[in-house]
Amino acid sequence: MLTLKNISFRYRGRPAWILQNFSFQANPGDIIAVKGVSGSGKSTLLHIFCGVIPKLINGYFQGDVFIGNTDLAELSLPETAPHMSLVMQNPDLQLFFPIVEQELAFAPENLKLHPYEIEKRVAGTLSELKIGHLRYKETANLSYGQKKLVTFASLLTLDPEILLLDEISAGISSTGIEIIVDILKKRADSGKIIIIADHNPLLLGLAKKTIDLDEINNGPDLHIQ
Amino acid sequence: MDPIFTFSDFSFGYLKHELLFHDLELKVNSNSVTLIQGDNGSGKTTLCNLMSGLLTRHKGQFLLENHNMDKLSKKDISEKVVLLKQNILGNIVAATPEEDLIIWQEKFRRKCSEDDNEKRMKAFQLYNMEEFLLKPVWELSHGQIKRITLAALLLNSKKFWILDEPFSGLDSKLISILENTIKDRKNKNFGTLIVSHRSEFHTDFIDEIYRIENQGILKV
Repeated sequence: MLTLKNISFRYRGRPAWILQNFSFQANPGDIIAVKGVSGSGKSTLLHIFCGVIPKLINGYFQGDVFIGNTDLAELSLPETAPHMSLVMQNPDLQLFFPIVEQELAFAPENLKLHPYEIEKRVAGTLSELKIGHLRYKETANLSYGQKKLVTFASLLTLDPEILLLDEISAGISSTGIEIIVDILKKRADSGKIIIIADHNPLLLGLAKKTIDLDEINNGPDLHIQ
Repeated sequence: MDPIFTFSDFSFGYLKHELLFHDLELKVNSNSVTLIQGDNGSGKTTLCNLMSGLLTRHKGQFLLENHNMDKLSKKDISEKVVLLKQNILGNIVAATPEEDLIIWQEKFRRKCSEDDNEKRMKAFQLYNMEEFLLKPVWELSHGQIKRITLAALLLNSKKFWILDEPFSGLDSKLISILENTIKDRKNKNFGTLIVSHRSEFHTDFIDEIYRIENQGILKV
């Protein structure tokens, strides 16, 4: 279970509140869509979920985030990652190994899994996403869409309980999106919480719950300081 | 209709033994809207980069209007075509939206006209950017940065546009603004090439659709 309690946030030096007294709860198996016009705070909200706000990004932050009964404030970012992890919009910010296979093996290696299990996750994910041909390719030479698929794959090999996806569909072919949709359905059925900020109708269509930032931002609460 | 780009017997690969395009035949019209589709890694971005002169060393014939691409300088090419890169930060050269568009106007053109300020403001207004004109780029969201690049395109209205995934990260309102801009251009005989995965296009303004497959390109 993922809970936001009375979250307020605005960036330092900027008067506008992105969120004010916002509360939300997600249960295992939930797929949640984050909607809103460009600049409404979709990425900001994902950063709050995973703790990058307030731990890395400064600003005025109030409220609590809980994973189950654990207060996120008590966990460091590396301690949070196995529970909850984010695929960022720009894949270049997230890939840091020369070879795709190394990128995918990094997370399960850090979880100290048995080499057999690491191989199982890497090979399984590659075949699930139908990108087996990329396994020994250099990450720097991949196309934008391939890089996005590899960052998504590295989230799958980490296998956190909560998956945060920021514009995962950008640059992905329609076949690729169908594959991603299938994977997300399966993960939700197995009890994962999936939070999607996207504009793609197929992905948004998966969601049973929606956080509509336009609605929240136009609500009466926001203007009371 | 005059082709702006002509590929004939064209081959290109990043590695000697791995061709991305082999014997490609393609004509891109200068005054129509062309859509290019293809799987991830099939070479869509590569094609855009070739057409804007960022990649060289191809084999076969490759013409911009009637000139051999090999013989043209980057400057010659950039006077005819403008590229919107997929990786949006690759399009930004300045610290704020305002500065970025001023650089487009002052540095990349031979002459500056008096109505530059007005043109710039019009571009910003179209994409609802007045609020963050003077904000540093690193405080902007992905979608806001994308809007800078779309506004900058408007200052290059007389060039052929090559747009690599222009719609990704845009909400539906911004998508329709961009679509309308492309339609308006077409009515004024300025063409656009779009690389996109979107399938739900209002196809009324797209003249030709191609799909990259098996190192070649097929008309859809």
